[in-house]
Amino acid sequence: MLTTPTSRVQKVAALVQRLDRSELRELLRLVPRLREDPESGTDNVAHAADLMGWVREELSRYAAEAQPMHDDDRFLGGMTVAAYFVLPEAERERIWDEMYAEAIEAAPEREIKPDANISARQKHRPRNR
Amino acid sequence: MPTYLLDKSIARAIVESLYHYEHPSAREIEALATWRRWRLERARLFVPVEAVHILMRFEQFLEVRVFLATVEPLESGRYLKRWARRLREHGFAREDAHVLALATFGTDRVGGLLGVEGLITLDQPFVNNFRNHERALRTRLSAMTHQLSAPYRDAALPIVLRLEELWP
Repeated sequence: MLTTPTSRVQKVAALVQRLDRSELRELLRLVPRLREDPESGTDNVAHAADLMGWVREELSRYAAEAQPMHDDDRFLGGMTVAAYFVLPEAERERIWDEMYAEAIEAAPEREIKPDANISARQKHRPRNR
Repeated sequence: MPTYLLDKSIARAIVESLYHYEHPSAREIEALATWRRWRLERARLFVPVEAVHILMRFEQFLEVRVFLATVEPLESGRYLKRWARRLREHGFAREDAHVLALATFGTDRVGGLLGVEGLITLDQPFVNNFRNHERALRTRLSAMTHQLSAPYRDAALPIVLRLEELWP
């Protein structure tokens, strides 16, 4: 028997309805296209505008204490801000990796209090001892 | 209150997104939207102390100052290096082993915390390696912590997620 596109979608939808949260995550990982909503262009613009407004407010809270980056300011890797941000993603990552690798070499360990907070997930994990 | 460790890739993504916030790419929108959501749910956000030290050199910049104001440094607790050495035997690069061990044996400024619930990263190969070895790692961690005193005996692996897996 032939399956129409609509009935195929309905079958997939019925399957998806039964997925739990972790299965939904896995599905989205396997099919990233599901994140894209071809009819939500207006929503995306509104979302981005709302987000920008929120970021602007966050930045304004610290405007008296710090200045926005300018192109000729010195930044990571001894470069100017402008030079840093035109680098490819992989090169910016490499700069961070180098600085980070040097820093973790010298990281000292410290004692943790016996009554330290332990996340709920840790507290409730199965104990097999 | 949920506790998350943001690896250096997430810290970098948020700071860079703040610089571009008026003309963000799709990925930068995702980073900023996730950061906002964490703020709104009052999650306790940590960044490896080493990444905080890198950023503190530039805290005169607004984009860096704002980000640092929303995170706390996660410092190495006792047994971190021992656990990181074991992680290296499961194919983790040195820095990946360090951050995963930090999520398990890391602590806050006052030593009042052991580990975090979630480790968030952009590094897919790291996530893949964690998932491939997760069962063996749990067994190995349990064997290591079995005879430790409190609180270390309660150390547990975090959930490890890529940024886009947080909220489907």
